[in-house]
Amino acid sequence: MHEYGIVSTIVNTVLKELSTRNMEPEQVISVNMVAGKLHQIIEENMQFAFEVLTKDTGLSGCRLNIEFKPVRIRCRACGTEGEVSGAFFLCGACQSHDVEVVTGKELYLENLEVRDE
Amino acid sequence: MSNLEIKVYKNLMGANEEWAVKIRSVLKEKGVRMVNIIGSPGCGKTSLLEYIGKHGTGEKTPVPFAVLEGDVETTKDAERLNVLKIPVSQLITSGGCHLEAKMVYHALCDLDLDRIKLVVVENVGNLVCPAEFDLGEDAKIAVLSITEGEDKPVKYPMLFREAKACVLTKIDLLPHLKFDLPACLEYVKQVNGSIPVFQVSSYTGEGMDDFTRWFIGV
Repeated sequence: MHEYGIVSTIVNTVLKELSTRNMEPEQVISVNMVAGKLHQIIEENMQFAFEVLTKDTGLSGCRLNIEFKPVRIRCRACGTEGEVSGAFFLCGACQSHDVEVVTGKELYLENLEVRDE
Repeated sequence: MSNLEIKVYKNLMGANEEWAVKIRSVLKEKGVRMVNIIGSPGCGKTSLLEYIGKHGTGEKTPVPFAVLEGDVETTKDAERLNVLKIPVSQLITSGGCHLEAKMVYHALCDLDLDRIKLVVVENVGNLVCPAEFDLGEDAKIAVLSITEGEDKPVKYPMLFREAKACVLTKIDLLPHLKFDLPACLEYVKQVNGSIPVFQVSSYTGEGMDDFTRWFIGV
């Protein structure tokens, strides 16, 4: 997955949000995002990209927090829901392969924590 | 001084999705379907298209399709298809490892969509990144050559999970390689139990008629 592309979208979105509220980048304490595990995002790469892309800007030094959502599937045959940890998408109850993904595809910027000055 | 929470809820793939929606709208208006072929470099994606361009379904039925050819560099693949009079546009990513919807939208608009029924996107050779990007297509197709090894469906599960069909290419080489075909089929099933697997050789033509019929009827 393309950590730099995602982080670049995050930084641009944060700056746009701040601008519409007449806030300064220096007020941001943390940027909080959610990533489903299906995207195979590597946290280390995200943090490095965030550090590089915010260096020498008003956002430098603020935190990037990533909440990873597990991959959960629902069996179309028996309705059982469960978490998947590896590559195999198989119902834990009836072993059916006919399953749908319930969570794990998320990729969004959730909120910003800012100092109210 | 206190801290505030600003709720944002911004989809980080949103920009690509907006272009994918535009693509769907153009395809719907013109009554054209689109498939997105994804596989490693050298797995036989272009050879599949050459075969279909030359032979159709084997029933002398012409298959009017156009190709949007994605590559990091050169127009070599487009030249191969151009020889067969297949309408083709080359998209050069200059280092980019996948095609995004914005590029595909503009290339699509340059095609004469009144004269074709099917657009084939041949994505940049890569099993990882192209699977992530919605191009507004009707189906993604995962192409795996048997020279790559039987374990690829579980090593790169996202592509096989997103695909509506899997094509195993170069099966004429089966007698010469240590490729565990039953294990490969089981791996595909474990990752995505609902897709057909076509075993083909664009060299001998084995399995190509079945695949072509499925392909043009997506």
